[in-house]
Amino acid sequence: MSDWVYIVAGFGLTWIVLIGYAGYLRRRVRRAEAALAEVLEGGKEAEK
Amino acid sequence: MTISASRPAAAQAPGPARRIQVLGWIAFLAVLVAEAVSLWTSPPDRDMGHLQKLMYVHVPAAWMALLAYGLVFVLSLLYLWKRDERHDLLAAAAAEVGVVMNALALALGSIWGRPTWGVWWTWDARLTSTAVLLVIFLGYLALRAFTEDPDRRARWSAAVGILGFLNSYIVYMSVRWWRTLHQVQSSPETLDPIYTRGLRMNAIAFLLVLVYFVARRYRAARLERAAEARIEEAALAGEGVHV
Repeated sequence: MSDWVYIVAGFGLTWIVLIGYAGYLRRRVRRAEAALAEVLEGGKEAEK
Repeated sequence: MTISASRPAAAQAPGPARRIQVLGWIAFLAVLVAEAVSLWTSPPDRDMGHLQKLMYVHVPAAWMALLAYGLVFVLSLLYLWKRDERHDLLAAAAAEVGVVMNALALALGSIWGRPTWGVWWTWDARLTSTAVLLVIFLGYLALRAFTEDPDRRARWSAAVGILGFLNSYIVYMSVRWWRTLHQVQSSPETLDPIYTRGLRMNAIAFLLVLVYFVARRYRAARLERAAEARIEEAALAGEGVHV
């Protein structure tokens, strides 16, 4: 195989991992924000 | 122990979140520019030819993994000393990002090893110690996932984080202590000057990505902990929190 196949594979993998992990973190932050809002809202309802 | 749950509004503040997003865009743009410049400007190596270009992603990924684990070490010590929960959460964020960088460095090393050494993997001292490091920090993350009590989770993971980082020194020195297939550490001192600019540019770009990832992961951890603590508070007060 040509050297460039390995180079493209290496750089391609790097971008897949970096973008994939950034996407995972984005979803995780959103989920955490929603969970916290839900808990705080649930607490207010309980106080009523 | 300092608990962020009493200030959930701070965890939700939009200002820091926006700054982190901007940092993310800058970091990814920096990686794009650094990779483009280094790919286009570095000449083929005498022995490896164009395969040398893989250094620009493999070496920064490995450096960032060691840096992230170093951060875990310092923050774990700080946690055991001050018992401030923010140190524990930041250490956990750094550990997860370290695992991502560590796994990436191993995979890139494998891609580089196949055409240069003729194998995808060999039980070389550098490769094996790096794989052991990855397993230790995967264990760190598993420990955190399966320990419910926040105080115990923080103490135990701090101990694992400190011990795990000690293996980083073995990883770093492995190419000097043993006769390995892996070359000696790549650094501006061991490289031909023609390649150092690209390596420095990529290292700085990866450093920005590392800071962005840790900041983002820390934000998620603060929010999750705030929700967890609110549920604990409500349970202690006998309130019903509907989730």
